[in-house]
Amino acid sequence: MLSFLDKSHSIAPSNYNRWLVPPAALAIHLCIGEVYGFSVFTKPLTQLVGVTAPTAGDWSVASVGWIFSIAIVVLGVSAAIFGKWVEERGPRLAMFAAACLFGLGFVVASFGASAHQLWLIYFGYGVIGGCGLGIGYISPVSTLIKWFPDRPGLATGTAIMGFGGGALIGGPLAVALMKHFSGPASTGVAPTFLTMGVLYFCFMLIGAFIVRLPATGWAPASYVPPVAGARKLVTTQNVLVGDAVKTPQFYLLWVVLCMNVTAGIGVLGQASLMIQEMFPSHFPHDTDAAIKASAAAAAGFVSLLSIFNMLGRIFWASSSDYLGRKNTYTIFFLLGIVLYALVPTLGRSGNLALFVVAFLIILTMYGGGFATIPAYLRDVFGTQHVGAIHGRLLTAWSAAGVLGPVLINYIRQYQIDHGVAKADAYSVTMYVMCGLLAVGFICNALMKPVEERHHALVAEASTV
Amino acid sequence: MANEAPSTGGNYTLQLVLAWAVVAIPLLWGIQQTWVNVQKLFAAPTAASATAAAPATTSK
Repeated sequence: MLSFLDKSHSIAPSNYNRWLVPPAALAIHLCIGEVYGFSVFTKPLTQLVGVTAPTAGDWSVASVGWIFSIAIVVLGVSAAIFGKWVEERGPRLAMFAAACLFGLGFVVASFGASAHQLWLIYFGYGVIGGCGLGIGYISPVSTLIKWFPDRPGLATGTAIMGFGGGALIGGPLAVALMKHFSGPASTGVAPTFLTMGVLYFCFMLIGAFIVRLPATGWAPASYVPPVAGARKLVTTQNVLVGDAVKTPQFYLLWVVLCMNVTAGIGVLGQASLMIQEMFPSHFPHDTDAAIKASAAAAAGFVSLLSIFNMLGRIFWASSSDYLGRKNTYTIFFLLGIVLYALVPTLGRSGNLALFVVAFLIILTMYGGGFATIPAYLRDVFGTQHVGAIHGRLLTAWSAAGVLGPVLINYIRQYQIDHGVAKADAYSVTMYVMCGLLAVGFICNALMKPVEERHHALVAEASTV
Repeated sequence: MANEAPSTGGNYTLQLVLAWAVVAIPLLWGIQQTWVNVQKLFAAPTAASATAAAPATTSK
C-alpha cells in the first residue's frame, strides 16, 4: 500500500492524459481552501457553553480568531519547511500526507470543541491542519507546472482557483452541517468538525490517487521549449532551492507577493464593515431590522468578492502566459494604485456601484497574485525545484496575513480616535495601501534573470 | 525532446469525465450557495429601507 505512494510508482504511463492532473489538484485545493471560510465557526465557537448566546466561560471572538491566524502562519512555515521533502517524495505521498494532516486537524479540533479546550483547537486545526494546508498547497502546483510547460500560468491558476473556491464550498457546508447537528444543548460544532474532517480526508485521497508525475524528459507533443533569451526572464535552466534563496530575485519576488497580498487581505477582512461605514445611506443602522438587512447586504458584498477572488486566479494566471509574468504584476500594481486611490473619492461621491466594481477588480488581482507567482518562480528558477522554492516564498503570505489586517485595523481606529468620521476613516488606509503597491511595483521592475553561477549542473538539477 | 507523449488521448475519457465531475459538482454547489448571499447585496437599499419602514407602517 505504502509503496503505491512512492514517487517511482506515480510516474505516468506514456498514454496518460495530462488533463487528469488539474482535477487531482482541485480535489486538494477545494478542500484546504476551506480555511478561508472558517469565519462561519467564529460565532458558534463563542457560544459553546451558552449555546444560544455567549455566557460566562465562553471564549472571546479575539481568542477564537487566533485559530485562523495560526493555521495561515503554519501554512507558510510548513510549506517552507516541507517544500524540499515534497519535491523529493513526489506529489502522491505529499497529497496523502496533506489529507491525513488536514483531516486529523479537524478531528482533534472536534475533541477540542467537545471538551471545551481551546488549545486543542489551536493545536488541531491550527498546527496539524496548518501543516496539511502547507503541504497540500504546494504539491499539486509544482506537479501541474511539470505537466504544462506550455501553459504554466493556466496550470497554476487552475489549482489555486480551487483554493479560492474552497471557501465557497466550506462555508455553506459548515453552516448546513451545524444546522443539522445543532440542538437545544449544542451548537453542533464538534460533530461538524468531525464530519468535515472525514469528508475532506476522503475527497483529498481522490486527488492523491489520480495524480501522476510525468516521466523524465516528457513534454507535450506540440511543445516547443523556450529558446534561451527569447523571453528575457524565462530560463531554460534550473536553480536549486538552497541557491535560489541566495539570489536577490527570490527576495524581490517575496516582497512582490507580500505587498500584493497585504493590500488585498487587508481590505478583504474589513470589506463588510468598510462598505457599511462608507455608504451609510445605503446601509442604514437606524433600527434593528435595518441593521440586520444592512449586515446581510454587506455579507453579500463579501460573497461577491470571494467569487471574483476565485475567478481572478484563473483569469490572471492564464493571461500571464501571454502577457508575461512581469507585465502581469506591473498591471496589478499600477491598476491597484489607481483603484485604491479612487476608493475614498468613490466613497465621498456616494457611488456605490463604482465602489463595488473597483473592489471586484482589486480582488481579482489579489487572487491573481497568488496564482501567478508559481509560474513566475518557474520562469525565473526553472521547473525542477519550483515546489520547494514556492514553499519558501509562501512565508510572504504568512507575513502579509498579519501585516494587512493589522495595518487596516490600526490606521482606521487611529483615525476614528482622532475625530475622523467613520465614512472617511479608510482614506489614509487606502493611500498606505497605494504606498505598499508602489514598493511592490519597484521590486517587480527590478526583476532580472538569475545569474548563471546560480544555475544547477544537469546532474544536480535532477536531484533535490 | 525525449519521451514525447500525446498531451491528450489514451483510454482515459471516462476517468476524465468522472474526475472533472467530482470536482465540478461541489464547486458549482458552492458558487450557487454563495450567489444566494450575493443577491442580498443587490437588494440592499430596498430591503433595508423596506424592512426598516415596515414596523412604522404596522404601528400606524
